[in-house]
Amino acid sequence: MQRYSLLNLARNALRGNKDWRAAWRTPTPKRGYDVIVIGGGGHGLATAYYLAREHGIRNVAVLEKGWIGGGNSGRNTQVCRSNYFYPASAAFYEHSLKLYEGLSRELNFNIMLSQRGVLSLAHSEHELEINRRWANATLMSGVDSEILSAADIKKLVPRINLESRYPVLGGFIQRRGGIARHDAVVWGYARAASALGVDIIQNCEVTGFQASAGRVRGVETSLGAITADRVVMSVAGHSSVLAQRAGLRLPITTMALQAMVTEPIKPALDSILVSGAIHAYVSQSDRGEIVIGGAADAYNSYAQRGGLPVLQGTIAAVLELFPSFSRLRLMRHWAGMVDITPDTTPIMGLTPLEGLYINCGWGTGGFKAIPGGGHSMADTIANNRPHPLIERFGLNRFENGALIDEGAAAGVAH
Amino acid sequence: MSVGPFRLPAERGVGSAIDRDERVRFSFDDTTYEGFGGDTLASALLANGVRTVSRSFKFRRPRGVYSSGIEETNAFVQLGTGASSVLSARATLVELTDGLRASSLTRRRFDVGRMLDVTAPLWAAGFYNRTFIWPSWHTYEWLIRRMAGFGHAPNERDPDRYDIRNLHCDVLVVGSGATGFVAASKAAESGARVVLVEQANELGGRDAWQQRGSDPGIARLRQLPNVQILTRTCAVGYYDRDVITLLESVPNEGACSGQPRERYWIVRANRVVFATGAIEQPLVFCNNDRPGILLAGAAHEYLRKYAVACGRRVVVATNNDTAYAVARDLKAGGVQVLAVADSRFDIPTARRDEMRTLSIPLHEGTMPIDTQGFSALRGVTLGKLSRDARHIESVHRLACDALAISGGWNPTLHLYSQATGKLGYDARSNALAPQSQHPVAMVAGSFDHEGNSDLGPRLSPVGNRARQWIDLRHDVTVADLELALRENFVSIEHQKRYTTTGMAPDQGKTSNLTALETVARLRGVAPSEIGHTTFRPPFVPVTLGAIAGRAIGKRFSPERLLPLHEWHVRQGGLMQDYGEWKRPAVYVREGESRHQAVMREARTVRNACGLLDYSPLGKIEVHGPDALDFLNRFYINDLRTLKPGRARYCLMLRETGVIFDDGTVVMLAPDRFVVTTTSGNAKRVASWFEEWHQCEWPHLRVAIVPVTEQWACFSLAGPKSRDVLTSLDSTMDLSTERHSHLGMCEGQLIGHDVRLYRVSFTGELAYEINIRAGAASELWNALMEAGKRHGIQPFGLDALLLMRLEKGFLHVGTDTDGTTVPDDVGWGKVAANKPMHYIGKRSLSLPEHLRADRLQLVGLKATTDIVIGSHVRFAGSSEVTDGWVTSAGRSVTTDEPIALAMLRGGRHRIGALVRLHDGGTITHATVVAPPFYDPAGDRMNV
Amino acid sequence: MLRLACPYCGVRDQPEFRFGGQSHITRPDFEVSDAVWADYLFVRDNLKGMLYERWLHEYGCGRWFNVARDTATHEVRAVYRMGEAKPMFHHEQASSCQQTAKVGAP
Ligand SMILES: Cc1cc2nc3c(=O)[nH]c(=O)nc-3n(C[C@H](O)[C@H](O)[C@H](O)COP(=O)(O)OP(=O)(O)OC[C@H]3O[C@@H](n4cnc5c(N)ncnc54)[C@H](O)[C@@H]3O)c2cc1C
Ligand SMILES: [Zn+2]
Repeated sequence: MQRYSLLNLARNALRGNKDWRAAWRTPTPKRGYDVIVIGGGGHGLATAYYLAREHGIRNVAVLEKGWIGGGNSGRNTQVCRSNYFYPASAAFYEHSLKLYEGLSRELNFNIMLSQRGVLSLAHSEHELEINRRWANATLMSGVDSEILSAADIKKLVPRINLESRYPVLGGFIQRRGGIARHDAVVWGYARAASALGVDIIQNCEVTGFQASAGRVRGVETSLGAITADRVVMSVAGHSSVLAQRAGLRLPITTMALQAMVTEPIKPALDSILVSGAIHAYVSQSDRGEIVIGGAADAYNSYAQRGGLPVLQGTIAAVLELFPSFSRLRLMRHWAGMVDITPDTTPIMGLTPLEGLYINCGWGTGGFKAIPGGGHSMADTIANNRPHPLIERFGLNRFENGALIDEGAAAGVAH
Repeated sequence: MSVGPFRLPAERGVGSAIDRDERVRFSFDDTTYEGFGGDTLASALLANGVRTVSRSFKFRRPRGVYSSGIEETNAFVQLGTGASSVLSARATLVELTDGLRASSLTRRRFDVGRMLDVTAPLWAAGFYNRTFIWPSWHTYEWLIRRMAGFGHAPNERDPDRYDIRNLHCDVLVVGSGATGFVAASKAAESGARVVLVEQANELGGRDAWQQRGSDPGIARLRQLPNVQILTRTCAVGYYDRDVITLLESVPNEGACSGQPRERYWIVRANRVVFATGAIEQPLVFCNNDRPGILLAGAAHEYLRKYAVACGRRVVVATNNDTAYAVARDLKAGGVQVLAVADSRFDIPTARRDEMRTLSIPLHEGTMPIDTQGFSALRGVTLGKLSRDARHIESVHRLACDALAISGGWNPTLHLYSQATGKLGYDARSNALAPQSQHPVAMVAGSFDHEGNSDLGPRLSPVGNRARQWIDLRHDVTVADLELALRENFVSIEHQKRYTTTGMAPDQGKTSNLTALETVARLRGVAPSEIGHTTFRPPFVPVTLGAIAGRAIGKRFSPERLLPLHEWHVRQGGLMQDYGEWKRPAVYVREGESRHQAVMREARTVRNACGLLDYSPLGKIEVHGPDALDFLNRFYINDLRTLKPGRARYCLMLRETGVIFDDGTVVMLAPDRFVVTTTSGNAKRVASWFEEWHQCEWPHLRVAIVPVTEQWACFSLAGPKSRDVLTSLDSTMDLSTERHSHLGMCEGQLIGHDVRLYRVSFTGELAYEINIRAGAASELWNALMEAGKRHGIQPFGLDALLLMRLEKGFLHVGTDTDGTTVPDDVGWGKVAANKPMHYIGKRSLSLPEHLRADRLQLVGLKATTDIVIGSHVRFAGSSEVTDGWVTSAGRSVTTDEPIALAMLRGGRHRIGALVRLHDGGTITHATVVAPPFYDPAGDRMNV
Repeated sequence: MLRLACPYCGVRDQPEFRFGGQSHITRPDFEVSDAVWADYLFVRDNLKGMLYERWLHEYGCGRWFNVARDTATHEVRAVYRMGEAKPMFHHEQASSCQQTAKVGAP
């Protein structure tokens, strides 16, 4: 792998940038691999990378039906945090955040992790109590967390309007939370995985599975059949569709989740603000765009487009918090197909079909989980048992009722 | 006589849009200029010879006006300052008004800029991915952030107002050029309701200022009653099948005009016709970004509409027929046209003849390959192409101050694409074209009418690719695209993301197609194989305020007020948000802390009596022969033993077994029930009943009527409450024998119909008094008056919740969360013993719900205050957490700190000493079995 | 923005409605296994193409009704009342069908 550094940058600039080499190879698919990863999103690529790097399994292909990062990994709002409520979640997401913290160096690719703090707002006394329960839960799990008063918030975010329809009474912040550049994460993993021997095959859609005697033997693709004894699905919004081909039904609903950005402006907002009560979150990208997200469009959709009502509601919510953003202009908005589980916790691990592994259900929040997801899935595949951090995330939890309902932890009784 | 050195005199017969009698003063970067009424900021700047109007994003290169419309990539300015400032205004769209103050925000700080430009190869595509790794990105980020972005958001609230308007029509026609006009007229004749929208301030599109002049038919169209015309209105978004959004900017008639600044229209149309024309594309060559280089069509428009010459010595470079009219008209306007360079060899004879007649030198097979100048164009190098357009055979230089370029026209298909219409690269027109039918939307207009047939080459074969700009705004060059390809960013989407082509505020209107063709050429494939990037809405940037409309501030979400809201406010009630409702948390008196006030109110209830406005309590009437059977399918309690005139406290689950809501079920008669719900769930429970009734059990004969708002509800609580009540004029026998705990009676109180329930959330003798909302205040005042001699006081929710905590009563949503099942809160037996298959029951026997180490509701006592939200850990526990405090306060009777908590296997931990963790603080408490007050319930059972 | 034709009121904008998930789900008996019960609680088809789903006209007549909608295109193929049988289409893959929707009575 060609090293990236300031020195190298300068040297290459002098030569007119002619000597940069391909970030990843474009191999022709082999007839078979040790492991096939379906889906060239962040999770798929990270899984392949860790298989090669941590487990020495390098005969791996990542099959992507379009272009890598073309799914949710290249469409999200980049929020990274690990302040989850339940210990099982916090441990997993903290593992992921820790990996993120070292990732630019590990991959020798600047993924632009900016730990500016993720601040959750409370708009009622009840929410203040829930915030405190939550912040303390995070601390118990060893994850940083700090309760802030309304005055603290004003100091941190001078533009905020505390007197909105639902006044801001306080909140809590994870200072290590932040944003990272989504495309860079995808490309960084792809480059590193490819250098370790992983074949990244784009424009290759998996259309079915080959199985015999209760175990998977390979996949059918738009480029022909490819064999492998171990196959992992990380196809996010398409999980139900693909799982059906393997005879599995999943507790997943695919919905559109929207994101929107304004025209770029000079720095106006340093933290990432999240308000569950009014369904909006907002940050500013390094390019200067105000990045806005909200709730999913609440109906099944594979159309990869959002609707007007959520767009309007989300923008109104952001203007409640920041009336001074009213004159900014929406430059672009788009949507991704997110894979939502009943308890908003991912599904990771083994499936009833031996050799087939699953990694999905990330819904609205799996970007932050890319390093952790890839790392623990690679380990799970290499050892054919769930990695200890994801034991509770298995498909069987729905049958025995052991849901990990992060949404419910927010104190909502439904 | 003329305003600005580049303004042509009236004798030349140009300037259809300006009013030469109206002089308008404006300033740009603190210099004052004059323009005419009807000018745009861009035309006025050009007229005044202002060449550099902005600097580019990355290299801070000087840039000039590039176009005359929404596609502008360079001329972004900030208008005004403070609350009313406009960021990133396109000078080409700003209508000039007197006193306008515009700024390029660059303030001649090009020292740094020069550095960046000179070292440009360092900042090639993806540079930030390759460096800034050590020690961390954070070290450099602030600097990058400061350099990025354009303009400062105001600090103040937006003083302007925005409206949202809804519209339904048969046919929506977007664009009022020749095609749009015909479409609108035809539809109107057939009697359809037609809406015609035009982004310019006048109808007619390009025809309006080109030779043809405006059509008299337009006036006729305006008269028709079934036609609505909106100018200054741009179609911006297409949502699903038939919904289109428009943004109308309302001419500013002063802030006090009462008009909104903009209107956001939401149109539902049976048919949509996009007659949106095309956007001119550039030629690509070395240093193609200098101020003075602009699109030929724009040069034409400035000339004809505004009588502005884009330069004194102009070169026209084209690959198609359309730019010839520009050369011709410039010449006619008295501007020196040095040459027309056409990259085609087979130029139509008519064009050759025309140029010969006008004595404009015409160079066939020629295109610009380089330019000179820095903050203004000084010259252009023209190169004679080889027949195969791969080489340059000879060059010659011309000194000029403007270069008008045309690389053909790309139809404006953004909205059609948003409507999910498929697009593809059409090799015949060298542009994108619609490839599919859409059930509602269609594109009208032929695209080669602009002369796209048989275009000449668009891209220069020679020259430093690092100086050939594709995306001017983001400083993306051919070299960047090439580098991206070299690094295997092959997909056009990867190209876009890696180089950021087309991601600037101009959204690639003049760069996406060029990028596509450049990539095709670099890869050696046909452009049709490349695909294209997605057209994401909106078509042009839209003010956030306009999208939100009036749904901000108080209108963001309705504020629901109690019937006695004013009274509570007058009495010092601290009105807080509980969902949509504003309710009194406590009535703080002069000199009291909130805590003291709560304790005073609670003691008053415990010792005498208090009155609480409980109106938001959810109330649903369920009537019908099957009402009992119906309700029995929802609650964990067996309702078959309920008697008329009696109330019962009940829990309701979700199908997952989780507690959904609680409340009382009151049997008015065997076929008439009233159920109460928590106030937060009032709507949800009614809707839940309906859903099951309509979808699952339609055969059950019940009617469900939510009556929360119809009935005001007070809780009169305390040992003296019966005395207070009986002192009022009443038709009811309220003696314990006739109206015992959990009894219900209907009758009259001070002449109004009421329902009285003996239910108590405070643990004291209490009455829930339900009365028609309109009579609420009369009864309230009567009760307060009657209670005077007992020292009655109003009390708020704080005191209520404190008293129920002391009683250990469950508060759904506070003590429970989305995982709590009945057994966790002590209702396991009731839930298990009921034989029927009620909602949620099956889930209670899933393994997880039977575990002994589930969180269970218990009490805590301590010597120091307990903080809600603290986590609990047992001595010697290896768990991360053993639970948390859900409710806490001081006992009203003993002033001891008490709490309720959900603890792991908590019921087996009674008596244990536990640690409470809150932030960095650790305190201790003892686990106890609630309640903390009157365990036998004697006080409410009187 | 979706626009749905409520069988009782006619065509209205999406904000008037609430989505209720897949329709025609049979509630199992009490005695079924945990696996069957979990399936009923949590698992839905969630496929790309035709979805038979139910919607509530919440800010309107307050009635639930069924919709056959293509999840890939959002095209509504049919609207029918609660309790009515689901209409069958030639190809459940509606995205390929161009014939117009049988929209319920306005
Ligand atoms: C608008 C939006 C905002 C978000 N914001 C955040 C956020 O702020 N923070 C956060 O943590 N998360 C966020 N998320 C969620 C996050 O983006 C996702 O959870 C995460 O990217 C999932 O990664 P993935 O690799 O599983 O899926 P994807 O990136 O979607 O990758 C799946 C890939 O599988 C491919 N594929 C599908 N079917 C096949 C097939 N049959 N054969 C081959 N390939 C196939 C797809 O083309 C796709 O590339 C957001 C999501 C969206 C849409
Ligand atoms: Zn209706």
